[in-house]
Amino acid sequence: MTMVASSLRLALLGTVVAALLAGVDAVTRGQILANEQRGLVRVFVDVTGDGRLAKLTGPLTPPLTVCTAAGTPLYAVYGHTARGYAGVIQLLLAVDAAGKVAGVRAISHRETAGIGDVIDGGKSDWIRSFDGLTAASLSAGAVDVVSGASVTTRAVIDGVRDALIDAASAPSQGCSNVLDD
Amino acid sequence: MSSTIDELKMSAWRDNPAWGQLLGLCPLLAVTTSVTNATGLAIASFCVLVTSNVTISAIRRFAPDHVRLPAFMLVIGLCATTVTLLMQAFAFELYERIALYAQLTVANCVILAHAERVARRQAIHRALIDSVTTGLGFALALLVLGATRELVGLGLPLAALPPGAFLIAGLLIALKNAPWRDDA
Repeated sequence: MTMVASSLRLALLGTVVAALLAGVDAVTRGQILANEQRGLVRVFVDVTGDGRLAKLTGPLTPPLTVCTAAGTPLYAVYGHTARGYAGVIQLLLAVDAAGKVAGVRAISHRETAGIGDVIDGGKSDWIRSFDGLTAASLSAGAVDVVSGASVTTRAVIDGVRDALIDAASAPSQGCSNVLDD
Repeated sequence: MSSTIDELKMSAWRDNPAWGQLLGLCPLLAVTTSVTNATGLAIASFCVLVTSNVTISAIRRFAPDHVRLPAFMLVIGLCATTVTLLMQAFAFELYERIALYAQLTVANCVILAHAERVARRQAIHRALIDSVTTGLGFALALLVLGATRELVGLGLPLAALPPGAFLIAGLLIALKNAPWRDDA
């Protein structure tokens, strides 16, 4: 077989493969987007501990201001990036209307399994010790560093404090998401 | 029929892709922190291995011989991407646990090795039997390593960490090789 004939066959194969992939993409795209949205909503329910957020609609990229149907702010949700022991820790924190922490979760991190993953809400309750705190109480040392994972937990404590300070100084926004009754 | 069973035994034990041929160890070591993760990757690898090898066997007379590697990669890429997208759509939680490694099945050398050694030379039914038995052998390796690491990890967290993967995989390979040393 000549080089040209081989190339043509390869090109034909590539075209068929591309067409098939476009088909699979078209079939699965809607379902995948819905799954990703549902995954985000689950994270918001987990971080606030508030089942009402299961009905959350609208844009889901933080910062969010979640309000009741009457327009009363319930939670402000922020993302914050902290630098841990093994790279970036993505934090998500929810602040209630009184300015207190409703919940914090490390939504992605690469901290050492079995040691630094104490910050993982699914593996330890440590991250729940932030609930109900403020920037001032954090600065006063309300949450203890975990021995053995001091770099990781210190990064999370400082990250939450910084996020709270940023949130307090940011201009208040209108409701980005309204919960239906 | 008995040859299929023999082949299955070979793939499960002596020629096991992971312990016998030492192929595909990267996803094997990385993902087997728990049985759930191992099962997810086992299913993904199995589907990609079978579909890609059967397809390669079906087009073996069409694919030009001296550019067969790009042709194989196209087919394997198609199968791996399709399986990844389907997992994302219909088994999203499982996909999230093994996302990177599901995509990396495209570069799993078990698949390419069998495409090159078996699928491109054999008729479709031979390629099907070979890829099914090989896929089951690889799945078995994943599940045994995943189960061992999860169980040992309960008492000894090191087993769930990357060094634990190397230690336990090494011990399993040693265990497999021990009875064969006598007749070597």
